[in-house]
Amino acid sequence: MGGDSNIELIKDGKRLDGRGFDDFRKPLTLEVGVLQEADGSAYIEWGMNKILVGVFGPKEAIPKHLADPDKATIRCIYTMSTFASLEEHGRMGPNRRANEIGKVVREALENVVMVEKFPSTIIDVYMMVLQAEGGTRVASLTGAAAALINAGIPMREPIAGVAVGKAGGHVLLDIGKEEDNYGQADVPMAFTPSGDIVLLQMDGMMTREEIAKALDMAQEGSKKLFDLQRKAFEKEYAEPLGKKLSLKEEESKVDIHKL
Amino acid sequence: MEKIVLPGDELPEGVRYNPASVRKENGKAYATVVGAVENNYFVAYELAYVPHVGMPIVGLVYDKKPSAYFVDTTTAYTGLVLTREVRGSLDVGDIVSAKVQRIEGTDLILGYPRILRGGKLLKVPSSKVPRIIGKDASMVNMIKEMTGTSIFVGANGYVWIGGDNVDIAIKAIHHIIKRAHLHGLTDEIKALLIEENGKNPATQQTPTPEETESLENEVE
Repeated sequence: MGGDSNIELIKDGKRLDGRGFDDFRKPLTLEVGVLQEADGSAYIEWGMNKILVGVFGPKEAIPKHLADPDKATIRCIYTMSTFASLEEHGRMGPNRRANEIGKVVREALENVVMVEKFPSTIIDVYMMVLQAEGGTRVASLTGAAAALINAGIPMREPIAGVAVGKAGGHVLLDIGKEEDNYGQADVPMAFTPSGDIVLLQMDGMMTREEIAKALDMAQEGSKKLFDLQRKAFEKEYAEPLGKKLSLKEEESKVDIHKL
Repeated sequence: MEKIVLPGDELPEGVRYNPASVRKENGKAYATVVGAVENNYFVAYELAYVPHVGMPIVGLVYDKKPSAYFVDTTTAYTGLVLTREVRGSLDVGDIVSAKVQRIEGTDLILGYPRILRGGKLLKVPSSKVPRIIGKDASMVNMIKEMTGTSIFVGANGYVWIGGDNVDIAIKAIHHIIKRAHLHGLTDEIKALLIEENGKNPATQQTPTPEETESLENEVE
C-alpha cells in the first residue's frame, strides 16, 4: 500500500490501463483438464496473471497424522515461480506469503468441498503462479475451484474470487499491480453463487460506505467468473477429451521399486 | 450436447441420479459434481471414487504380511486380501480381481480373490468405468466377443485385459474414455472394432464357452 503516493492512478475517469471502475482485466480465460497426470486441473489467465492448478486425490493421507477420521484434509500449496514477477516475491518455496495464501484458499475451499464424504484421505491442491500481476490469490482460488470440479470431487457450490480496492479515492474492481502497490486499499473477496462470502481480507483503509460498495461490486463481478467457469466446462465436454486422459499400461509382473 | 450441470445447480424434478453425485436440501436435489441430464438421468462426467460393499476391484499386490496381502487400487483406499482367503499364495506384482466385502477406514477388505495371469493392466478414470461396462455389460461384452480377449473391469479404475488381441481392446477402451460423454458410442466402438479386425483377420476368434461364462459373473 503506497497510501498517499503521488502516482496518478485515475485519469479522466479511467484507470491506468484504460479500464472503467468496474471492469475486469483482459484477457480473462479459464481452461480445465490441462494436465494429464492430475485428477483435475485448470489454467487461468487473468490480465498478466498466468496460473496453473492441479488437484490430486482424494488419496491416502501421508504423513498419517494428517488423516482426519471424520473428513478429508485439504492441503493447498501456493507457489510462485522464480520468473513470475520482477519483485522479491518471485521466490519459490514455502515462504510467509505462500503459506498465508495456501491457508486462506484452503479455508475458503473447506466451505464448499464435501470433505465428509472422504474420511481419512487427503486432497492436494497445487497452485503454480507462472506470471504475476497482482490478485493472484483470487485468481488461484477461482482456478482451484474449477480444478476440484474437474477432479470430480463433490462440492456444494463453486466459488470464485475477485480483489476490490481503492485508488485515487475511487472503489475499483479487480485491481492490478500498480493499484495494489500505490492505492489506498486492497480487499480480496470470494463468493459462492448463493452469495456467501468465503474469503475476505483487507489491506489499507476504507470507510464503511466504501466497503459496502466494494462488496456489491465484487459480488456482481463474481457472477462473471461463475459464467467463465461454466463456459470452461461446456468447452471441455463439447468435444472428445484429449489432454486429461491418464492411461497407463503396465505389464503383469512389475518391479516393486517402480510402484 | 446437453446443457452442462455444475455443482450447486438444481436438478429438474423427477430426474433420476446416483446419490453419490447429488445432495438434497429442502426436498430438492442439487448436483455436487459436473455432469449433464440425459434421458431424464443425471450423468456425472467426473466423480471421485467412493467404495461400496460388493464392488468389483482389480488391483496389484504390492506387499505381503503374515495375515494379509496389500493390494494397490490406485485410489485413496488400500485393498487387503486376507491370507486365509487365498488357496496357495500370492506374489508381489500379481494382479488380482476381488470384491469389496467390508470397508474399514481407508482399508478395503477384499473377498473372492482371483489371480489374473499375464495380460495388461490399464489405468482409467474411475468415473468412466460405467461407460466401459455399458448397459447390462453390453459394451464390455461386445469388446470381449469381437476381440477374443478376457476383460476384468474394476470399479476402482483398473482394467485387466488378457488374450491375444489386447492392443485392439486397449484402443477401444481409450476411445470410450475420450468420448464417454458423447452419444452413439456403442456403434462407434463396433465400427472401430470391425475396422481393426479387418486389418488383422487372423485375430478373429471368440473365447471358449467356459471362459465367457466365468467372466460374465465377474464383470458387472
